[in-house]
Amino acid sequence: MQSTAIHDIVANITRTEAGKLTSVLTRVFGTHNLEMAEDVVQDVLIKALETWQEKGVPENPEAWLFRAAKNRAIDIIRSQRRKQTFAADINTLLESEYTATQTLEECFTDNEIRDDQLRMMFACCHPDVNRQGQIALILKTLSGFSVSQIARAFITTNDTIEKRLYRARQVFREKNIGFEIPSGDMLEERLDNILETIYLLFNEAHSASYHDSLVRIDLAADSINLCNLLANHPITGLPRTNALLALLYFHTARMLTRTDVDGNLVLMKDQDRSLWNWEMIHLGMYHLQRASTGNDVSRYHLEAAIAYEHCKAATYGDTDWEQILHFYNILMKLVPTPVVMLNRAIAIKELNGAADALKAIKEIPGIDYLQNYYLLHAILGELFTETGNTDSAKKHYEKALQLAVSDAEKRFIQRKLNI
Amino acid sequence: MKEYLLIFRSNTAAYSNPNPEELAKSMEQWKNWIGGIAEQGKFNAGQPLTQDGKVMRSNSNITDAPFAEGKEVVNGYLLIKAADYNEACKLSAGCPIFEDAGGSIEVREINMMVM
Repeated sequence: MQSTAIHDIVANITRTEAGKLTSVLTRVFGTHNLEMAEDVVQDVLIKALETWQEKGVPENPEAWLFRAAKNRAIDIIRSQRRKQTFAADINTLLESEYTATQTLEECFTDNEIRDDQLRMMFACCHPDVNRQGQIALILKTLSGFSVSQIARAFITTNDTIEKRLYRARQVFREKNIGFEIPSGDMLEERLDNILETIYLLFNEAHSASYHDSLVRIDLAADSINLCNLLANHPITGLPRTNALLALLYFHTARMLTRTDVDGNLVLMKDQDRSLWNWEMIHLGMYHLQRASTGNDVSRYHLEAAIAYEHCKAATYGDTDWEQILHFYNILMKLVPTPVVMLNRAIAIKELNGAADALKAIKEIPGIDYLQNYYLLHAILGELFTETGNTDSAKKHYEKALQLAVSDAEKRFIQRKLNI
Repeated sequence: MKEYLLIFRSNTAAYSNPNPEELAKSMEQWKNWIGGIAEQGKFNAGQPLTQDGKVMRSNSNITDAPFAEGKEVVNGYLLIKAADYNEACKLSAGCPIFEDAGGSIEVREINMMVM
């Protein structure tokens, strides 16, 4: 087989399996030895590449990787057990040859590995790790991203990502971070933290139009994977988890139609709805249904409901803006942020016209915080155009042009200015 | 809390190659038994021993250990914590060594030297 083909196989398997390997090895070595776990995964992947290039890809590459990781782990345990402490609850068992291999085998069962990924998620989102560190660490340990891939996803340098990871790993080394799925009151609080991190991770993929679409799709697929793990586990599969997952599916289903082949932004009303990913929309509907039990109404419920209204409409003209405004009214009470209210103003425009929307925007408390948000000015530009106030429209479009980051956004506003 | 050394003996036949299923079953039994002691915080250390060995009668007289076929040999040890011999024996009761031919445990208290 071509060496590039084997590179691709290893790259793909890294994305699907590295997170599982890092999780189970962190469970065995202990969270303070996170780097040891990451190093073993790295070694095993390099060894896979070398061995497979020489001898061909084994029939079951995943099993090969897990066996190699297990062997490497037992080597490390044997050579370091006098000077290292591994995971506290199994440390003594790893020290004795009577129990070490069997203990390791029991850690490597499918169910344990699945739960370890969740435990890893809770560890990564530990409150002592800052948010940027949480996101970088999740992508690195659970999603098999390399440092340069993370840097590309966040439009920053490898150096910056290395620093974030360094600080996060330092917390792991020094703070005795637990490796468990929290129970009782702690569960909801810690789960909310994870959901928010996934939500932010996804927003990074979704909102940043300066990404090339491959990076965006990768990040989105990854947020969905992480959320799926949570949603399909009996402890973490709460209604709000399913609501977030539904939201991710609805947004991702429409992601590819948001830009045209030249990378220009395409507004929702101009998007080709037949190109939306209907399989994803159906998955979203399924999870939205699973989210609709109990009394839990989270922001994810409302945002998913709004996204669903858009998916549901056969054409832009069929959009049920009344229903959407209703959801925004509830969302606004739950999450009273200027951005939510700005989005609500768009529903008001569709329903009652530009003048009412302008009035609603003027009434947003803290609207001044959005003065450097290009979208505020793009929206105001459009609203003033519709009310015939061309001077104000021009002023806001120019401001938007100044603030826009990506070329696609700039081109989009430039076209508006030229009309 | 005192410390006890458990010395395991069984016939050399116990080293004959078991099939993979028997081996896996045996490993699981040992893991469960020691895991139970570890859960109580009473497991300190322990290792199984290979079948060969040397005997030194002086610092220069080294011979291969004469482990005759069918004879009992030491094949492993454990260090555990226990209040007294009574508890040490109780903890040892579930040991899989008793399933081996000639399996036995010698329980010995660690002699804490007076300073």
